[in-house]
Amino acid sequence: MKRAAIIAAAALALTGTTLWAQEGPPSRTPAPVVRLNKADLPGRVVFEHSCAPCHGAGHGTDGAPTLPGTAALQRRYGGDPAALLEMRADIEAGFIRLFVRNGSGAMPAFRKSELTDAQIDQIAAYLRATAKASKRK
Amino acid sequence: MELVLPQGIGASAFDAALRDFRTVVGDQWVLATDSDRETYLDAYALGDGHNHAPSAALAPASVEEVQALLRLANRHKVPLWPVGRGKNLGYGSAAPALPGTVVMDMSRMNAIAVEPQFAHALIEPGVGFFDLYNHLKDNQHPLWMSVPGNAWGSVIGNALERGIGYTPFGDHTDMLCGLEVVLPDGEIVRTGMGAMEGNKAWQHYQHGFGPDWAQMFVQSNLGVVTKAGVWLQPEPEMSAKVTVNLPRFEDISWAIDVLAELRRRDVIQHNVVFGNYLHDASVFSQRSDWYTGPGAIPDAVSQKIIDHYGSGWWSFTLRLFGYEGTVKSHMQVLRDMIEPRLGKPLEFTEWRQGDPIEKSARGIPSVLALQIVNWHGGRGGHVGFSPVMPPDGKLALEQARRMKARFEQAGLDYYTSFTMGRRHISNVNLLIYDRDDAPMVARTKQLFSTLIEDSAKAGYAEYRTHPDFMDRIARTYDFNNHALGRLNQRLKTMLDPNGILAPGKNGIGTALKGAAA
Repeated sequence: MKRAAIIAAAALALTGTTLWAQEGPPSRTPAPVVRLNKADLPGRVVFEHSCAPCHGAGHGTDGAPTLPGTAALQRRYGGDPAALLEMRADIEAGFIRLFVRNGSGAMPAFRKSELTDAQIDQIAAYLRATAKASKRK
Repeated sequence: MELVLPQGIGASAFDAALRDFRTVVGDQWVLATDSDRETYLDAYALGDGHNHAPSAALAPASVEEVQALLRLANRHKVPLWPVGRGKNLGYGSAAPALPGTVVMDMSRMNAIAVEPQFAHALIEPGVGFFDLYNHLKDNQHPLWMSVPGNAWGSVIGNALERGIGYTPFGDHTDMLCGLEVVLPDGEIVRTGMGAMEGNKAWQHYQHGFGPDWAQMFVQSNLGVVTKAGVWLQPEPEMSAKVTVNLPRFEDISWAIDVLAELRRRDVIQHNVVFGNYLHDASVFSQRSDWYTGPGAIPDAVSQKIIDHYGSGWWSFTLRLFGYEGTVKSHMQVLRDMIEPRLGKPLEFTEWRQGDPIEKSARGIPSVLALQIVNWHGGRGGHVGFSPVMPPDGKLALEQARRMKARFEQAGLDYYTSFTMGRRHISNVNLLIYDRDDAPMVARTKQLFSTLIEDSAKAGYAEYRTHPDFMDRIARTYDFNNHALGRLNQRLKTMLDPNGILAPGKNGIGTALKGAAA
């Protein structure tokens, strides 16, 4: 199977829907605040440097209502599973690597010179731990 | 992904070159698997991007490694395509002009040395806008920086492509002060005062003694920049910003004239994005939310979008920086010049030291603008067609009418900005497409060709372009039988006789082949 087709199949398997969770076209209303219990793991620094500018919580300091990666996943998933990666305990390193190395939509591919395979493993461990801790109120 | 070798290099010769490259950067940083190569394809290519496929990538970590790689490239006659962080999205990303060229990825060279007293930094090409911003914040330096629309990119790379931001330090090339460059034969030179060993004013005065060669390494293939001084903005006492929405298409005429006057008189000290309604709509929604019919979005649908976002047909944001007295007086000038035409008061957001940073007019790194490639759904991309023109309202209105008609003929939605520089407009037209929609890609390519021809007839040319069009744009610079192209070619032959550095970059070494030389 071609790489693009693999990604498309993987995305469809996860998403199921491309509908908006709200009526009508989106507005510029800021995203709701999400409380996270961030895991103190090496992957946190990596995630915050390389992923959070798009996939973080809250709205952008530039006035953006939602960070673009989170907004795109909200659009794709409609909130189930969560658009915020730090609330996802189900994402394996191999799956993250597929998207990181190939990009998706507006997200360009990230190369080994920017993110090593070992760092992607760290990100996966951080996301898993953070999601579990954040759901445990 | 099929391996494309450099032109004239066989498989065994290529393998021998990679073996030698590994002795310099180590096995880990010669990236030559199928999946490695794919990460260096153009993320927004018109089609699959394989017409600019690299054969491998090398990621050096020091200037010494860059020197060694260039010397080996000469020995093996293998061409290298240097990129800062390879995020020149819309202009080819990391992909080389000629297929088979090896990418030299400078992402690992990311040192930052800030001199807070003098408000400058000496940085390497792997430093991105987020990196510099975080460094300034983490070290509590009261210095602001200018950022472009896509903050993933390299600060040096963007400046070397004549990228811009939207503060008084937004002409990024002009903010460079002192380059360290490795020439194609591996020799290091420093421009400006850095040409003197131990000189203490390298980041203080740009030009040095005799010719200033710094511009020779901008949008060129005559050297690899390995360090650059960058001037930063001391945190001002106050800033103010205001967004202005203009309801009618024809409002561009009076507004450009007013803004041009304010820029010439230095009341507005930054590049102004004077953009149409699609800027907001393409970031916050998708086309199918509004229209699923054939052809470009009809005017009636455009009006619905404008009404939904309250964005006006055109909108722009003005920013003021400085001591409070200056900012306040310039706010009054803006009110006096704009409010009578607008018919309502300007609503400024003011910021003073200690206020939340989001209220400020500071450049804050963001990647929000990248969302526009999701406009059509599917695997999106865009290319920019950006002719430079005089800042004149009548000309701008004529240009907007002409371009809008061309977009509509091509069945593509008209996305444009008349970005106001000090004494010019860069008319940045984004052609947004679905990469997997072959008819749409073909229409986009045809539209781009038409725009090149239209603009040349009107007396305008592009300042920057995608590798697909570099030769064509270079040929539009045709004064005295392409004298500039011939000069570039003479320099290229002298400095890079083996043609190993970024062949085809901006048409240098390729645009005039077989013609006009």
